[in-house]
Amino acid sequence: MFEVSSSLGDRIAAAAVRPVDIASLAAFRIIFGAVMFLGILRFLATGWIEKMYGEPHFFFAYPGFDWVRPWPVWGMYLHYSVLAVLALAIALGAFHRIATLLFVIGFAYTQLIDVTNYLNHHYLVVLLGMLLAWLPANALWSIDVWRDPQLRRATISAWMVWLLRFQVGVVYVFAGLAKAKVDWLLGGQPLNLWLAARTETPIVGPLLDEPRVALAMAWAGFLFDTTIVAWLSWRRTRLVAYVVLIAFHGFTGYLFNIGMFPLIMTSAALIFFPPSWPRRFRRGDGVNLVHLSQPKVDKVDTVPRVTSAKVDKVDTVPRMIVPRVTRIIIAIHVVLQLALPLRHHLYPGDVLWNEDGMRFAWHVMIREKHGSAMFEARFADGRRLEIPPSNYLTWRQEREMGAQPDLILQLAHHIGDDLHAKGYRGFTLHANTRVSLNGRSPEPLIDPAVNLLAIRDLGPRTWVLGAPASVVPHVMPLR
Amino acid sequence: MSSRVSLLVVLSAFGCGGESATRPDATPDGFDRSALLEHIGGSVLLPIQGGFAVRASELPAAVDAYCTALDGGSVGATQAAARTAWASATDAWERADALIVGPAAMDNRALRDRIYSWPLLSTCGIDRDTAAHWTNPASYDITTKLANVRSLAAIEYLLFATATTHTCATAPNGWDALAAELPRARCRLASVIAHDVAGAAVTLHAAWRPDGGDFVGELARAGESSSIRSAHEGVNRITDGIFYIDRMVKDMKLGEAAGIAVNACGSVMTPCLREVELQYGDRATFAIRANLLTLREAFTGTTGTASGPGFDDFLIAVGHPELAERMLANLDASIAKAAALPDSFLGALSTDYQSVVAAHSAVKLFTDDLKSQFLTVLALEIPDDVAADND
Repeated sequence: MFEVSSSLGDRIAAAAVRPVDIASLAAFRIIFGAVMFLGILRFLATGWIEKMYGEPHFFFAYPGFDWVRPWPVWGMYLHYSVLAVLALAIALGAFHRIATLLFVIGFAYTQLIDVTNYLNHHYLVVLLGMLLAWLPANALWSIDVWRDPQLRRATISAWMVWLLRFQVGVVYVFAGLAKAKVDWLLGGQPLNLWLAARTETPIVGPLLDEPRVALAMAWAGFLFDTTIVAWLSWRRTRLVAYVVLIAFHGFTGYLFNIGMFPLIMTSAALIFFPPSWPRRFRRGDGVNLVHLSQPKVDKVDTVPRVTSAKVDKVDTVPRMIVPRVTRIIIAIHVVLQLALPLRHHLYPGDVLWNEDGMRFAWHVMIREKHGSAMFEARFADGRRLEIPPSNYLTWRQEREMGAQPDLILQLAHHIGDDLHAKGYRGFTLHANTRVSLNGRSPEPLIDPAVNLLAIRDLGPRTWVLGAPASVVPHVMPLR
Repeated sequence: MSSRVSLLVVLSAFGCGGESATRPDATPDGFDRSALLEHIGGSVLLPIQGGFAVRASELPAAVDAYCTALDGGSVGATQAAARTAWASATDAWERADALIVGPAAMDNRALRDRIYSWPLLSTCGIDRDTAAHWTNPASYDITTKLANVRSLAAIEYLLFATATTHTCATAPNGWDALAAELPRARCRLASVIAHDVAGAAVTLHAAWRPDGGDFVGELARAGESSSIRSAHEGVNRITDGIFYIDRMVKDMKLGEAAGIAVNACGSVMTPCLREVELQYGDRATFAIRANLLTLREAFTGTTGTASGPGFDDFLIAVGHPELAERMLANLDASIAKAAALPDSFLGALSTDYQSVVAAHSAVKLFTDDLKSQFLTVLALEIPDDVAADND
């Protein structure tokens, strides 16, 4: 048994360092940079900078990052403009490592300012950017190579492509597993709620408030997410899978307000094609979609059989060695990426309700929650004083806070400090909450008897009440 | 239906698009969003705008008559008439203010603030303008003034304030010279502002009317030939307005004024008169009643003269009759509690405090549902939300 395992391990290790065409990595960099450039321009054009960084007076911090503060609005515009330049530099392969690293840091900064800005695909951007900064993605089709031809290389180790495939695959698989819930699979919720509001969609619109349609689409989404990586990984199904993937992301992007997510995923999924796929576009023969899905040069251990590789530096060492430090870093990254989405299983309660382990877990578009939260200071003499969250938050922040216990707790502490600063003494602070999950009747989310000022968000969230037991309701067709 | 579902799956797989020739929501015998918008716009909100325009048009003449009487040295009944005209205009505006949508909401609610700026009010600024306008009327240009020194709120102060002392840290230029002329000076300024409010009311009403800006039509045609991209977006704009009841009625008019909610006075469960709306004319009770009446008309689609689809029908149509029933019951309870408030809100705060607490609690029951399940089951967004990405 040991010998078999050892043999398998050896084979995997050997395959991991097998040289493969660098072309798909270079293309990944170019497309990533271009998509980010477009995304940043879009952000600059929408007025979101004022809304997200200028209007709020209070920002929800990630643990350990409460020191992160936004620039003034003009500074944020400048910051995003610099990000756009860096994204362009990534696409062009100019000063690759430093440009990508600065982009990742700069982009992560914009996300760390306020938890209410959290989006799964922004988290993905940070992860992909980190990986790109680390990998030699500028060793082909880049300004860096133009400036210093010594940087040019034709191949990379296979593990580099694997790593990107793993990262993209993690998103799909865990987004799929997150859908394995009663509300989604048996109730078709929250899809039913969202689709019912899209009945004005051309052609299919009149069907969208039909619960059975929501259920069918819920299952389609679940099966798509959980299996697409397998279909993309299998040569025979890859092309069809990619066409389905484009249709899926195109349709969801059309129906829902999910911004750059469809573009990011459709472009990132190209990494599942053979590493030499971009060369097909450079031969001047037009694009052969059938050939696109077939591996050719990645089966070659040495130099790819491509015309444009003539000028590339040939890797003369057929088996590259992965340094120990690199292996450790990869192992840590992989373990983290597998553990973070699963961590909510370690916590008691329903993650959709208590949000414990919700972020960084690819729980993409799987719940619809709206809540009402009113804070109440209770004084020793029996007097009570309400503190509306609107005194501190924008509408958007209040919406996010109202359904997320850790944000409610964070605001409670801020309110406590503020009341102290205003001279109030001898009070406890409580939250009266009513939250509706996936269309259910609103129920209390936070135990109103608990003094939130005595709570630190570590350990079990006993101050969060249990999820509603009621069956998820449907929205009925308007016919 | 199964074939239609199959069609959907096929179409969705290929992300088909295209223009529909018919209004998707239009069903001859069922509920549709466009009908809701048409009814609320045309039968609920337009008459309210019209009613305000009439009341606002009566205000300048009443104020001018008062000013003329002051000039003649015999006020007679003109002061009371001016105050009554202001109260009528303000009550009419409170009906409209409870559901701001469309023209009054545009440009960061510029037109709304021109008509009624509360809670923005600077009595010191008004004192300054009073003195400046009295000494040199030509130098006063209302179009350059901030919202907090104009509108019905400023007129209220000018018509009802009896104190002869200014409210600034240092005396405004020319204030001391006013002396006995203060009532005339205040009235003159009130007249200028009243004319401006009346003009704004005409502008607003025209923006709604089918023969004007036709915002009624914009709502009714949402998703077709309208600047509103879809009927769903139109519904969302109406609900944006409905949220007035949460922040303005519950939190500010009732909560902060009564010391139920944290306020500028730092009081706890004792009134904070600085936070009371319309405190000079003591019309806060009437304002709350007017606000709630408009909300009920929009929620039920039923007014004194018209009946049509409302949000309760919408909730019932999507399978949530229990929510519709509960929200309507809570809204009616709020209206009953507001009706039970003494007409004098200042009096209520001092002699019948529990009636204010009861009204606040009743409204909160309605807003709890409004902010949670109502938004969820109708897939609506919170007000003023950036159309930010989601995932």
